Amino acid sequence: SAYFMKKKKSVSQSHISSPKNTQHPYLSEVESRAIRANLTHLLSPQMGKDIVWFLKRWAKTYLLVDEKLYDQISLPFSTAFGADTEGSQWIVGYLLEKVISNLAVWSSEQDLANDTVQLLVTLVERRERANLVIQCENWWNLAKQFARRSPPLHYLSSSVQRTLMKALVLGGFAHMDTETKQQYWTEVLQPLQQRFLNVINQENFQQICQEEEVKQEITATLEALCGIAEATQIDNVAILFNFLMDFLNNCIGLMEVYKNTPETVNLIIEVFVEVAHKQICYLGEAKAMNLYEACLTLLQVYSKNNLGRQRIDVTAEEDQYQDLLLIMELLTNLLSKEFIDFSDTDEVFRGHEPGQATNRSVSAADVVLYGVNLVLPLMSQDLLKFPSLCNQYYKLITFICEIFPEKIPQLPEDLFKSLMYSLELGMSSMSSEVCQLCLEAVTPLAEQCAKAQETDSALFLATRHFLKMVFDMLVLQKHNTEMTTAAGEAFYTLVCLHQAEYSELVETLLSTQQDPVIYQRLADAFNKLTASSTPPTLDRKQKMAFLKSLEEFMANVGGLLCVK
Amino acid sequence: MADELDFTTGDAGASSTYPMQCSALRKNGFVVLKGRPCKIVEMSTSKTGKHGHAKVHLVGIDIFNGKKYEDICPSTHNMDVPNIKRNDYQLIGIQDGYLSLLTESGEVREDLKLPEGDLGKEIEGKFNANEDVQISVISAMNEECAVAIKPCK
Repeated sequence: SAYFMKKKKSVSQSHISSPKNTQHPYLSEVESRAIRANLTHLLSPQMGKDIVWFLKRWAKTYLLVDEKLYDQISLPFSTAFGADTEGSQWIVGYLLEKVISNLAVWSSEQDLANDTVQLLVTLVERRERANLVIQCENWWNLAKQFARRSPPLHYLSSSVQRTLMKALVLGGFAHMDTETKQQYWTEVLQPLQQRFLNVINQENFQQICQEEEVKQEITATLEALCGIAEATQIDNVAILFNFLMDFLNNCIGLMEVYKNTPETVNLIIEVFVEVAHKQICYLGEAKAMNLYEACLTLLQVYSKNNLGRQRIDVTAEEDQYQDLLLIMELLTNLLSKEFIDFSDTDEVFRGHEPGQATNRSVSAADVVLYGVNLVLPLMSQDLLKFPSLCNQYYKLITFICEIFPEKIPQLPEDLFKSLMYSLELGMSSMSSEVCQLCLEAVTPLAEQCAKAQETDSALFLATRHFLKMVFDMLVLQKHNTEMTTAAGEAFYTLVCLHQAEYSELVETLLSTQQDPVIYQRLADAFNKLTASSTPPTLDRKQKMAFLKSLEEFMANVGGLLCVK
Repeated sequence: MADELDFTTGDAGASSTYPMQCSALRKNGFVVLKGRPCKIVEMSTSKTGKHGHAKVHLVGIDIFNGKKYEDICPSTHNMDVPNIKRNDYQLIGIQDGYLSLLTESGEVREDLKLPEGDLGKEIEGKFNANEDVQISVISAMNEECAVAIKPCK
C-alpha cells in the first residue's frame, strides 16, 4: 500500500505507454484476426506469450484501479479504465475474448496456455474486475464448456485445466443477485459433483474403474478439486470447504479402488494436500476436526494398501518417492495451523451450518503422529538422497518436536529411536539447512526433559548424546554465524539439563591438550563462557547472557581446534 | 467427450489406446513409443528458433521389458496413450516356469510366465517358503506381465 501511495506517474511518463509497449494492443488485434482467419500455424507462440504478458501486467496495474490506494490518479486513466466506465467493461470483454481464443488455439503451447489462464485469474481474483467479467456472456459459455469437458478445452494440460477451474471458482464470488449466483454454481460446481457421483455410484464401478474413460473422468475431477482449493480466499472458505469435504470423503473410497494405480493415488493425496494447505488456517475447531478425521482415514487406507509392499516395476523408486513426499507435505500443512491461525472459532462458518458435536475427537497431533509412524519406516537412507524428500522430511519431524514435544516421550520405542537417529543424522551428515532445523528441534526436546524431571528416560539419554554432538560441533568444527546461533541455543539448554556431562566434556577436552598455551586459552575461554550463568538455569536472561558469552568464546577459540 | 458418459458397453471391444495431444501428456504418465507401451520418465519442450512452435521430447521406459525409447514430436501431434490395467492375483503355484494364479472370480490362470531376474527369484523364494503372496499383473496393448509381489492381507 505504501508503495502504491508513492506512485504518481502521469500518462506520458508511464513505461506502459513507451513506444515499444504501445505496439502490444495492436499486435494483440493482429493476432486475433489471424486466428479467426485460420492462420494460427503462421503465428509465433513467442509473440503470443509477449502479448499475454503485456495484457496481464497492464490489467493488474491499470484496469479498475482501486482508488483508495492512491493519492492521485490521472484523469485519463480513471475516465478510460476506472470503475463504472464503459471503457473498463469493453476492455474486460476484450481480454476475456483473448483468453478464450488462446485457450482454444494455443493448447499445445504449455507456457502460453498457462500464461493465458493466469491472465484469466488476474481478471477475476479481484472483485471489482470479476464483477465485470461475469457480465460477459462469453464467461458463462466458458464455464458451461468447461463443465461439459468438451473440446477444445479438454486438450489443455491438466495443470492448465486446474488453474482454469480456479479462475471459474473465483469468478463465482463476484457480485451477483441470489438467483444469478445460484445459477452460476449450478453451471460450475454442480456438474462436477454430478458427473463424479454418476461415475462412482455405478453398480459395476469396481469392474469398470480401470477403463480409460472412467480413469480420465476421475483424474479430471481430482484436478478440478485442486483448482477449487487453490481458489480459497477468506470470504469464500465456508462454501468451498463444505463443498470439498463431501468430495474428500468419497476420495477415500477411491484410494481403495485405485490402490494399484499410483498416479491416481498420488493425485488423491494431492487434493488433501491442497485443501489442507489453503484452508486449514481459516478453519475453526469443529471444521478442522472434520478435516483431521478425513486425513486420518486417508492415511489408514494408504497404510493398509502399502504395508509390506515391494514395488519392483521399472520406476519403483520414483513412485515410492512421490506419494511419500505428498504425505509429508500433508502432515506439514496440517501442522501449520499451529503457526498461522486466522480462524475465529467457527466465525467464518456462521450462518452456513449449525454446529455439530462430533463423537470422536481427533487432533492434529493424532493425525500427524499416525502419519509419521507410517512414513518413518519407509524413509530409507536412499530416499533421503532426494533433496526435496529430505527437506520435507526434516521440516516435518522438526516441526513435530517444536509443536508437540510432550508427545515425543510417548512414542512407541521403534518410532522414537528412528526419530532420534534421524535428528542425529541431520546434525552430522546433511545440508546446513537440515542441520539447523535439527538444532532448532533439540531445544524444545531438552526443555521437555527439564519439565518432566526424569533422569533415566530414553529422551533424557538421547539429549545427553546430543550435548556431545553439539559440543563437538561448536568446538571442533567451523560454522557460519547462523549455524552458531542455532547451535548455541540448543547448547545452552542441553548444558542446563546435563551439567555434569558438560563439565566432563570440558575436562576431557582440556586433558587432551598437549600445548600449554592452547590449554590455557581454552581453559580461560570455558571459564568465561559459563561465568555469567552459574549454575545454568533455563532462565531467559541467563540464556541471553550465555549466548553473548558464546559469541566471544567462538571469536576466541573458534577454529582453534578444527581438524584440518 | 460426450455430455453423458455411457458405461454400458463394458470391457468387450474397448480399444487398447486412445489419442491425446502431445502437450497434454505428463511425466509419470504413459504413452506409446515406437509401438511399445511406455512410462514417461522425461518430457521436455523445445522450439526451433525464437518464434517456433513447441516440440516435445519424450523419453519412456517400456513397462514390460524396461527398454528405453525416445521420440520428438510437435506439441500439436496426437500421441497414443495405452490403456493400462492392473490386477492382483493370489499365487497358488508355479509350474514349468509359469505362474498359477487365482482370479477374483475363482478361476485359475496359468498363462503368465515367472518373470526373469530378481522379481522371479523373489516370487519363487516366497512361494517355496509357503508364504501367502499376491502377484500384481500389469496389462496393456494385449500384453501382460507380473510386475510386483506383495503379501496377502
